[in-house]
Amino acid sequence: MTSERYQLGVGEAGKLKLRATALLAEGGEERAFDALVLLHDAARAEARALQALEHPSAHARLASAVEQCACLVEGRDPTLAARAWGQVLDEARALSDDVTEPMLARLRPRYPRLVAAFVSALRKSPRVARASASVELLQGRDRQRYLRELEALRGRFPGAPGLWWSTCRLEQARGRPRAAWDAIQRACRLDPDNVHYSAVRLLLVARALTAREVDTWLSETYAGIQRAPPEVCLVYALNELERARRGPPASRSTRLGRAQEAVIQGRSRPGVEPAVAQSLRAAQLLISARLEGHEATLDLLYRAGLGEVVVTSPARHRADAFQCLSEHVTQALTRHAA
Amino acid sequence: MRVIDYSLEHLDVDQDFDWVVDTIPAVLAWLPEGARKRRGLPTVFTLHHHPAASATGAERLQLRLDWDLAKLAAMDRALLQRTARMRARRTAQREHVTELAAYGLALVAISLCLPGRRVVSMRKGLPPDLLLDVTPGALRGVEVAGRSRGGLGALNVLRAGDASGEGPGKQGVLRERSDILEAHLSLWCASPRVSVMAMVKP
Repeated sequence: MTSERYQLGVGEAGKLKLRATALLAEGGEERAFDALVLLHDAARAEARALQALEHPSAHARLASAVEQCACLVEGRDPTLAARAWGQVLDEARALSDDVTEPMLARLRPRYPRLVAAFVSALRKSPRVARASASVELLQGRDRQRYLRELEALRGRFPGAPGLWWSTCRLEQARGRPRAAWDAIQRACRLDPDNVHYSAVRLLLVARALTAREVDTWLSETYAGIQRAPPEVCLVYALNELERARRGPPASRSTRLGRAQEAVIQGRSRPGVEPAVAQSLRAAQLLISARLEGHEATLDLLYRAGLGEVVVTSPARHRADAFQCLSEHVTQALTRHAA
Repeated sequence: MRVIDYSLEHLDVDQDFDWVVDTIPAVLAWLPEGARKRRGLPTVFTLHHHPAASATGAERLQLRLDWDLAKLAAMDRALLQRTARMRARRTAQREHVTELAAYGLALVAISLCLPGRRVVSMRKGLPPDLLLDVTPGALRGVEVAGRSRGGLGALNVLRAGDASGEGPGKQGVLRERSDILEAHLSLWCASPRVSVMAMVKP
């Protein structure tokens, strides 16, 4: 008997796809983007539904992979579709050609068409293809050309979260935090499982939003801190530390207490990346020092294993342990997400 | 020819609301208003119904589709705006309006020709489009397509493939699939108004 969770999951995915089709039929830029987000949601709903089956057959696994890939192809996302296509090829190996051919009949022409269009568009966007790892270093005319290429690519593939991520970094480099925020929001909506996008979004909160909006964001993040990935816990703690430093003294101990809880939560997750674990430890030492009324010195960063970061940081960052850690985390997360 | 009357506002009873609410605006936008608007007459389709997978036993029906806009708008407050947006379709939207309208009309055909059966999911990458039962390895569903013109000839090409024999047509693809237990085709043409509802499997 099919699990009820599977039926519900597949039903939910189906409704998301229909809603997306309706939004595409209505037209308009915002509705079209919402449709692409729903198609990405549908792909994830299909994946979750498959997990509800105890021992899915090779047939069921291939059907799910095909459906996920088709949603991402229609969701104009060549990068995540490529990942799903890999899964399709992998699952198809377990079945004979006479079974797989009719199952791939609809997807086979569509996926290569999307890839061919993306490859051709990338060829016309040499700066995006070449310089996306170092957007921040672009200046003057190069930056303008990069921006134009990126806009053209986004126009054709608005469902690709990586293009919104590049936009976010470019807008940060141009000193436009609100535009950077809008772009990272879009990347997060398309790929909410990407913890680096979520962490970078939280980093941008304080730079792009009003004080009231920041408080709302931090409260919402804290409400879900028990399920948040370590990267998000770390950035949340740094946000609260910063606000404890600059905010009214009355709220200081509450903010430090929340920051401490976030760090404990982050460190308790299994398989935390070593670099993130070091930063979490450093944040914990800084918070403890503050709570005990001691000065937070660079020694705390050395003790957390970040001595190399201290010695390679610019002099202006070394004056303040919190700023040194904050800059290090910002750069590490940005690099990692890129 | 037997005549069947169907009121679109009844679709909400025959199928789940979520499937109906997103397809009705497209049905209204896709069907040319013509006589319905001028004289208040229903929109009439010639429906070729094949209740069994064998070549024989087809029945020609007259499907008289009607609706009360006020009742439909009571179910979906944004109905009129959504329909207007779809009517003003630009090229990029057109294929989605046709696709969505065909889903809506297929819901009507399912409600009439497979009474009691309800759509539970939908697929993008694998036929059939609308699923009545999602049991892996034993799927039941309806493959849907819409054409703006071409009449029965265009629908038959969709169903069985063309004379060049390049593809097996929708019917052939469904029959080749071992994980499908029961499959139907629901094909619609807006001008002339003709439709096919055919069981292709078992």
